Amino acid sequence: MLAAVLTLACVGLVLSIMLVIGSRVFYVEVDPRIEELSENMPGANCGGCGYAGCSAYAKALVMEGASTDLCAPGGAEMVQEIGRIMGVEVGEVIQKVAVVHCAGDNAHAQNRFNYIGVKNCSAAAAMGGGFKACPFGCLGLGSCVDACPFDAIRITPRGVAVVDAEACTGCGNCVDACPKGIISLVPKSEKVHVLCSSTDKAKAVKNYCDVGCIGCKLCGKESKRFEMKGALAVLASGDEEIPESAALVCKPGCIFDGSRYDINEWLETEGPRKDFESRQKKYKEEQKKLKEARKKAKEAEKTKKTADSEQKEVTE
Amino acid sequence: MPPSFKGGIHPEYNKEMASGRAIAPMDPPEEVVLPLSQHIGAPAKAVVEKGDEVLIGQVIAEPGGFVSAPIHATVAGRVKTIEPRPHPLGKSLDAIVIENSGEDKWTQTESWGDSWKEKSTDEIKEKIKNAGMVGMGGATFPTHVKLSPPEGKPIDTVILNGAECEPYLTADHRLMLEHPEPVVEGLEIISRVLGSKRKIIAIEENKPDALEKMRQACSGTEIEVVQLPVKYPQGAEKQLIKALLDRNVPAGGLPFEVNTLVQNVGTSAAICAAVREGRPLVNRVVTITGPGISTPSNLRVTLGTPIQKVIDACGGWKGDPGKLVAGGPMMGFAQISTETPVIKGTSGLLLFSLDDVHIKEEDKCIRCGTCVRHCPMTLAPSEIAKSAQKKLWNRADEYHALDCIECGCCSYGCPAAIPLVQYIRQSKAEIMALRRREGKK
Repeated sequence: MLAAVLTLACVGLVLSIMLVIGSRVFYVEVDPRIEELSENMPGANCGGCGYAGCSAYAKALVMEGASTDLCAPGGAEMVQEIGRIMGVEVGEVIQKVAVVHCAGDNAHAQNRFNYIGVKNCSAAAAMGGGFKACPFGCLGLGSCVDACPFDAIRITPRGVAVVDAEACTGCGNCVDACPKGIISLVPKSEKVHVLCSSTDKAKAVKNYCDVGCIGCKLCGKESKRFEMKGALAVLASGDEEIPESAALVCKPGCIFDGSRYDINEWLETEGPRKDFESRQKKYKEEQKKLKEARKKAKEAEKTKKTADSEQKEVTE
Repeated sequence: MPPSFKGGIHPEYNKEMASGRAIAPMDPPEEVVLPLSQHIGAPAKAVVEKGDEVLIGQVIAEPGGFVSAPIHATVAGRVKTIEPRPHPLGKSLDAIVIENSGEDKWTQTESWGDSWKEKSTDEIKEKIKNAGMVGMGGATFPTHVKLSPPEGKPIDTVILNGAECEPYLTADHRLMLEHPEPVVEGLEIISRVLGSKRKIIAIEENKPDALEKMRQACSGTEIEVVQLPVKYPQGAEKQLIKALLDRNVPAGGLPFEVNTLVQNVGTSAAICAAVREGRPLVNRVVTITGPGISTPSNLRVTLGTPIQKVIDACGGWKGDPGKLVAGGPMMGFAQISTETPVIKGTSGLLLFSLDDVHIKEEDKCIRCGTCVRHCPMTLAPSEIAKSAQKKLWNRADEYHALDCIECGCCSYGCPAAIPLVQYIRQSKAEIMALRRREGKK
């Protein structure tokens, strides 16, 4: 009994001494910053930074001098933290979120054929561009949902993808996963979005979708930030605030005003769109009245002028 | 033991619907739509403009590369427009639209007749190339590329494929039955070009009348007419070579690597017409069949004819339109419109009424192994599909997804109705994209 205890104790002692020596001899110096950085990272391993995971990015920061603002899920705080640990100045970071630029769901857009097959967007898109009549439209089979590590995208019951801006970290995985390329990252503060990606001309768009951009350029008159890409209005980044009228002049209503409506309700219920349409009508009438008033004023001025000149002549 | 290969299936053939119908010529339509992509490889480049007057057989598009083929006007008339039109593969692709003037006016052609035997092989090859010849079994691989094997790879055996293993189709069957001579002469031309000794015509045993006719036509020549057992995909290139010659085409390779060439009987007959009479490819035999057509027929259709016109010529739909497939039921493409044209590779049109279309929802794999047993390429389709579901493209590559010939045996047998071929096709596309990216690095 005693012999056994002693033997095991001796073996343990010898091995522990060997381990201690080994750990000293083969010690690898690791920059403590790597560990600190890894501990502070969100730990989602989303790959949005372009590295294999959080610790790989931490290593790249220290060893390769990677840019400090790559961690999208961490947001501004994370960037500050990285700056603190690395001892460098960091600029202000704009938090971005993903936006799906399509509202052409089953209620608004046409299908070309019934699709029966593999339930993911890239497989469906390989079948001659997909079953949607619109070559740019969201297929609603959820390749972006599968790609999102934060559960921030879902497909509405009517069949288009929608991003939960609160849960979205802006990692950009969905942007790469979408075979139609209709998801983009925009600043989180941005409230107005063009919910269409079709660069087709008005005639074609009207054939397949009720809520597609027809390239009328009316929004461009309200704000210079709307630029034309083919027959598609695209919101360029900038500081200028988008006036309420920009959405109201859009006939098919493809400019979504996030300051007034909730994107989920906008896509899933009829209410917001009805409200929008009545506002649109009201705005149109107001504009008409304004125009008439302006015209009247102009005419009045004209008659006044002629009257004045006549009077002048008379007095002379 | 009769010559055969591993795997394969025995679907219902349903050939009797159209096999008794003689090939009838169909009048050219008022307007033909000729897509610039009617073959595998680079699309052809249009050489005519809107408003040009063209004659039958005139070149209207030049090949866009080595693996490409020219396109010829199939009617005489005026070029109406060149614009994207619905293509049988689903997309809208550039096509030349010609208004038919109704005249049967041919462009000048050089007829060689029997004198082709004195021409050099290069001259014959050039003639075949200029005739816009492509594989007419459905794969539409440009024929002149097949006739130009790399140096050091002589073709010792030419196989004419008359298996027609796709269910429903009877176009090749009728061709062999009614016009055996051009088929045989086409084979002589091909083997002359390649200097091949051995010539084989392979026919499945469910076409005894065609076998008999071809044997008669080949009597007194060195051509062997071989009877093959009925099994799908007996007519697939690699399976045919394995069955007849017991040669294995290496993975990722082409038949020339085992000194063999396979051509469809339809292509052979068209080669004969091109070389003897100088006539380019302007029409082809199409089988219009299936439970959804009023009169199943075999028609000689002018290329570019809208499918709707062909259906009308056969008495229209029987019942409510359910599904329309261009090609055979196993490897053909479901059509989204009847406005798509008949092109060089359209071997058949298959019509199903709404009552005939059964849709099964995809279910979970039960690991029964049916797909593995059926696969004529001895792959494991279920494993490739599983990799594709998880987007593990490297794993799909390890399971040799690229060797899939997309015959559809796996999907056909799958009791869980998993679209295996679609998964494999997606894997192939992703693997190729991965390789391109790695190649760039």
